Amino acid sequence: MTGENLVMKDSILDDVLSIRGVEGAALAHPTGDLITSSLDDDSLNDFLGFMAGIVPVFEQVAALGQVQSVVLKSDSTENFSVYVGEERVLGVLSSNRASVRLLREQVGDLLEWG
Amino acid sequence: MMQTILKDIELLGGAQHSCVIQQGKVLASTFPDAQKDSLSGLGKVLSQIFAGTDALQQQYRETHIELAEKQLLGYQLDSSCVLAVLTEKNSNIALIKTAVRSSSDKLIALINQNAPLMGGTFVTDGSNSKPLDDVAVEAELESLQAMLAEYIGPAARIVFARARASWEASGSSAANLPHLWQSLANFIDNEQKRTDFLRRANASLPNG
Repeated sequence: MTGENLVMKDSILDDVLSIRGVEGAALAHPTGDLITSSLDDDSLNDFLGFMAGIVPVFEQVAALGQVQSVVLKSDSTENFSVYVGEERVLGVLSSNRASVRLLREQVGDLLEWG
Repeated sequence: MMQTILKDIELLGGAQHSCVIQQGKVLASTFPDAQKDSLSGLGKVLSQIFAGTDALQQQYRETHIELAEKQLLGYQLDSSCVLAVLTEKNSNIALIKTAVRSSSDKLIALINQNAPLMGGTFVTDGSNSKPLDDVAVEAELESLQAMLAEYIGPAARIVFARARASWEASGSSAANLPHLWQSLANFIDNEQKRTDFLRRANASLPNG
């Protein structure tokens, strides 16, 4: 995954949902507007919009380069990953027993070839 | 002492640099001088991300931010303090997490030992050091949200709710209102508008 010119077709959601350990996913516009979602929890959909807005702020203030993904980890509940493309932001809810690194690689493959 | 703990964390798992940031103030850092100016903002945004998860009613206290060549690991030490660790992409995160976990109690103890009083009922900005009652604080908050909406539009409602949750979680009332509007200002991309927002927010305090 290069992080540059990532392609996220709206149909990527179905592919992501077929990955082992994935429990839900949502796709949003960089402005935070939700495009499609399988997540039942509206607060997670809102949070994806929040992350879509805060990632550019992080890039601006941290000066560490382009952000490719952000993973929020929990020992007690599912992990939530956010993948940042040029025109879409993808949120993925996954089991905290599933490897975050493996998930990132699998989603990365979908993004590059999506 | 805090610096020593950070150095110890960096002995493991490919961690390169680390820092402890409390409400935008860098308490300890092993980052190169060239990067130190950006650490305050980095800490604020990490705190915002953790504050944003409060609305999810789930415990997220760890974040991995994947960058082009490196990875930034963020850990929430308490409601006002984060630890950031910059690592290589393929670092042993479990090892770093274990090191952080075993050090976090010592770090929190040091932070509490050295921290200035963050509570109280007085605004900390020197020009506005006066007590505010609950009604005045609530009015100030409503005014701030409306003002923020002038700069970022409808997103102000969500951004404000989460920033307010973080501010309240830090145990404050009127004591650190400036921290709240400083964190809100981070969401305004345009520097001139950001400065304008901060000026107006500061001036909006009663008798400010």
